Amino acid sequence: MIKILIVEDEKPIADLIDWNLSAMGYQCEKVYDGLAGADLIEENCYDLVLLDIMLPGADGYELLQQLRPTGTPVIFITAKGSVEDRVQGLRAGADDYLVKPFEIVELVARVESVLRRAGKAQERYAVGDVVVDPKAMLVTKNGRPVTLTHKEYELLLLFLRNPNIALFRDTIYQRVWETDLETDSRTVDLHVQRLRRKLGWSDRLKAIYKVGYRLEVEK
Amino acid sequence: MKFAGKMIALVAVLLALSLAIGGYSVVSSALRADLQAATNSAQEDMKLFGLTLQALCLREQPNQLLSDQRADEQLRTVLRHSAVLQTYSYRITNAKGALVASTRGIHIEDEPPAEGIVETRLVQEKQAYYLCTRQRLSILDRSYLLERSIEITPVFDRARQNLRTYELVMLLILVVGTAITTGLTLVLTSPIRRISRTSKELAAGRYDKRAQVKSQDELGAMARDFNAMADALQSKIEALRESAQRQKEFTASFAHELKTPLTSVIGYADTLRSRALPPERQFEAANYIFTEGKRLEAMSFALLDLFALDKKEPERTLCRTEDLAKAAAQSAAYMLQQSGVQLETKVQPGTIQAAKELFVSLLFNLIDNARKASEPGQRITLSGEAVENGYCFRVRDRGRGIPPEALARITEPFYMVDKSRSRAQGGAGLGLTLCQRIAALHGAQLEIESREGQGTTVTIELKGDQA
Repeated sequence: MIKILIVEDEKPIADLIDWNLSAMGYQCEKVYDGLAGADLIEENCYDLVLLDIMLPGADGYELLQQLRPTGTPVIFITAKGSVEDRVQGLRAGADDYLVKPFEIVELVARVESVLRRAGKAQERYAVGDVVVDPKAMLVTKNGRPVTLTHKEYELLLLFLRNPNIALFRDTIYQRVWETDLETDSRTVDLHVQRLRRKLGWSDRLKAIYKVGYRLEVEK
Repeated sequence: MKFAGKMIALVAVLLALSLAIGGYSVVSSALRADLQAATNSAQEDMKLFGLTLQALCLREQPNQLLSDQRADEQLRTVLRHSAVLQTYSYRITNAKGALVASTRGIHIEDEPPAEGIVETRLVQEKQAYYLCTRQRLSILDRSYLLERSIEITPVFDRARQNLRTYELVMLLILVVGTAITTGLTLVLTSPIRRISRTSKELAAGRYDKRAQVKSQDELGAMARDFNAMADALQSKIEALRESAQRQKEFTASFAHELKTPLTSVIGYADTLRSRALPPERQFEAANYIFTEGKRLEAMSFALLDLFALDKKEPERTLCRTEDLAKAAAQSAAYMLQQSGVQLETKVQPGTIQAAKELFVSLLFNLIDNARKASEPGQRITLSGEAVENGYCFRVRDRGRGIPPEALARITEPFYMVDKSRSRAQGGAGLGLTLCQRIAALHGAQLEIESREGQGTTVTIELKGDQA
């Protein structure tokens, strides 16, 4: 199981991250100040550390320096969102930089992407008889390859990475098409319908009335 | 052209001009004097020659009339036999213009002078100068023209020699003079250059630079004025920098303080709308949204107050101190009761110039801070007393106290000694910032004394407001 350490002095935010990452099947530990964070890093080994920058005790940069020799990937989660701050954070050796306030989907996507780059992510997704191998960009159903367009594939990955979560139309559009949704666009619905048809997922990809879709997966 | 260059050129030109004029006038007046002397002596000589000739001819004169030819002969004989006359050079012509006798010498062609006048004339021939004298003289009852010429080239040579020497001396004086002028000008203008250099450095942003000029003259005064200007500039710029820095820190803290509750509100709302959560988690998430929302509310109110304070100077009226204390105590009563903290009011009667609502809010904030620092059952004291030339309010608690390292930063915007505690009590970290601004509007400062574990006393001393 992948172990994630959350160092964040704001308890509500630490809890928020913990809940959502735990629901994704990660094992999370929380700590609310820098010195306690340093102790935990010293004693344990983590697959990923989420660091706030402004921390009591020791700040995020100090913890990052402590972490670098271990090669543990680090994501800064901070309110400091200026370009200089981001550059400084990435230069210091952080693997990614997430600016508050953030959306849960974005947090999950970044965590997964950093884990994937560190070679620690889930190698493949299997839902029912559908298997997706992101490395090979290969989708099979009952062992037979399924042909998907690029956007359909991205959409499928988004659902697979956020199982059992209601994905709002605007969120889906933002993450897959990377622009803001036009008000009466049917693009998302059309793509979801095609995914349902190609994968035989009319039951799994549940429409949420007026809002969006959810991929239902057995726990 | 630089000032020093202009100065040097000007002095050099003036020096050369005056030396030239002076030199030529000296040399030429010497020459004139020499010529005059030579002329005088030539005239004397001529007179002497004429008199001698007349006298000798008279002695030889046979008391009979001679023909013109005989007279000429006679004259020639006299000239030949006189040892004195033989040392002269001369030219003698008779009335008809025929040459009677001549030694070497030059001859002037034009109309001879009248009898009795000795004429002197300077004649240049080739490289030589001659002084020619002429006079018409009656000898042996006939009129003869006597001409003599003396070479005076040495006089001119001497003048030329003098001129050359003088030119050398002038050149030397010019060189030495220019060198001295250059040195002096450089020394005199060095303060200007130093000021100029310093102003360049100031312009380049090194505001601590000053012109090092010690002299007592106008340039020294200018340097002192310049330095005074630089001082004023530096302090102004430092104040600006400080204010910009404060502004920047405020903005950064503000962004942080705004984004943190927003992250929770957005994140929990997002979680609630996306995920089926167990009921106790739903409650927790909703509670987080509520408390973080309240935090945003508290912060926006405090910020609005702060901005309102910055906008305009509030009107101050004469207020009774008991009324102010009473109003503050009333506002705080409910919270105090909830926390089980007692408020003791010991306010001496007095009047101060105050913006009433702001001052009440200041006292209320201080009481509320004291309440937050106190344990249930503890006592807070609000006291007020007239002091020399003013009035003094004091809020004292016996609570937790402030750690010494936090004391200096306590009035900074968004600074919180114990973040989680402060948050739990709905604080935004702006209360004391607000209090300090209000106090500053009343020309006072917050003086905070605190000992950890023993309590805190905040004093506001208003000056000169007592009626």
